[in-house]
Amino acid sequence: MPVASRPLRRAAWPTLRAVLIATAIGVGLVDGAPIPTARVMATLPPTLRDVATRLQDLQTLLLVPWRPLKELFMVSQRWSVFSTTGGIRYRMWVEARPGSEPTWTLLYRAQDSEHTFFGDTLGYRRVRNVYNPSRSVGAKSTYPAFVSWLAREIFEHQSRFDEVRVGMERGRTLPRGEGFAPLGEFDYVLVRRRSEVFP
Amino acid sequence: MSAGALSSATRHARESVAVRWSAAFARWVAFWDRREPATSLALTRILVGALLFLDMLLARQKGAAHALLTPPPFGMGTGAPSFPGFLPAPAAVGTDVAALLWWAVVLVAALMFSCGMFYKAAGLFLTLALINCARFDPNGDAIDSLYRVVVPILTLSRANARFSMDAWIGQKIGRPPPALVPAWPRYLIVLQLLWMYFSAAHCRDDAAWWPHGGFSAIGNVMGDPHFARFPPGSLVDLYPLTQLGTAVSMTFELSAPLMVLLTWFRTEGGGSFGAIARKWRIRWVWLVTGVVLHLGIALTMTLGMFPYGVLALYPLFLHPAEYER
Repeated sequence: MPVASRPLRRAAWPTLRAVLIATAIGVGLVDGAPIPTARVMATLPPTLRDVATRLQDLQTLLLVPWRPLKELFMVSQRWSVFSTTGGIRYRMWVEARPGSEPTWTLLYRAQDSEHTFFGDTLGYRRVRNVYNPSRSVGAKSTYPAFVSWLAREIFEHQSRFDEVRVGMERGRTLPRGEGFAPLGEFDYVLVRRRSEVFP
Repeated sequence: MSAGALSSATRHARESVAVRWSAAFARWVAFWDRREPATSLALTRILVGALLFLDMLLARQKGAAHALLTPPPFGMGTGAPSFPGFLPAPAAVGTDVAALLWWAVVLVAALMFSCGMFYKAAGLFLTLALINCARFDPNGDAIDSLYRVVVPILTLSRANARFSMDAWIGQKIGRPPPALVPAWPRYLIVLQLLWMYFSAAHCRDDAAWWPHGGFSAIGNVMGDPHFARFPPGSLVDLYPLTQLGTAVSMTFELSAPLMVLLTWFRTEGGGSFGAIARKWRIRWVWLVTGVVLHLGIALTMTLGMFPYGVLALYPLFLHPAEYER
């Protein structure tokens, strides 16, 4: 009956909404459940490791229907914010040289007030997130593209250079806030030549 | 076994359970159907939109806006297709029109969202743009992930019922916005924020965040060349303060679930726990601690909009009636 249908619809919406919200909260809790990470699992006794692995499998199974939404919104309810802080950290160096010269000129180094070329851009959070290595996966997949883009910018602004080298200097954070001790070793070193970025 | 074969005691117990579940479900439905003035939601809408707008301006001013979204060789984006697929995606060609377009969509939609102008459409475009920008440049911060959850929820809310162009126009044409709007978006975003804090705390498997690691985590971050605002080692005298900050930060984040109860018992109830919480204003202590921690992060680390972006959600912790006082 048309007369009865309207109140029914009104009553149905709050119920449906409450169910949807309960589902969203439930899925979020499953997604964010504090199941040990692979690194923590490695330190667990075998029995606990088995339990954690089974929980992880169960979590994966329960989230299967929601994976398309998770992938679309690129969200996870497992929030890792500075989950690791100490140990080996990195300091980015950006160097360049003319093709004929053997020595590199330092253009930018993080926390170096004397070498700040392009520092304003490189310090911007979205750019830093591209080059700052992740503790779990190392260099980001877009890091090589970042180096190419940076080389291009340098070649456009400094026509005397023909090669750009970008690398991450390994260092150790010192105890009691005493700072950062560079180790003089580099990871993720990439070199770009003018001919490569201006095809 | 048929229902007739059950003893009357079993049948009674089953009916009792069913009644209890039914009553609990009815309370759940009623809770999410509550209404309130739009003040808290409107303030958050203004701040979230304004921050996204400023972040986009900053990306442009830093000369990185189009490069972040464009794939090689002209940028450092992923080259991923857009969603939905018929929309343009930044491509590896000699033009940055598509990247500029997406940047402009975030900029304009964020401004309209903040002003509450064609709010639902602005929120829809902003959600779509944030999703796509994350596809083209997936290396965002926690705040980018958080806003991909918060902006759609705010869009579904009636956060434009106050302090907005839509409300102003509605008044002018004789269709004023409702005095009371659904409260569920506020509850849901508060729960999301509290979960983010709690999850961040229990995801920390680094000893530096805990007593056995000497609460050295914040001191360590201040020694990280890519995140420290001041030269690493220059604030060594303040190290005990960073230890205190680490301990307070962990306590604050681990106690986030308690905030659900503190909010629930804001004005009444909760027995002696509620009475003590109200007497000692523990909810306010928790909120002020959060504000101080985020401002401390903004002062000492170069995290961009993260601390401000989280603080932009803090107006939701207050019931609209608290703004009326």
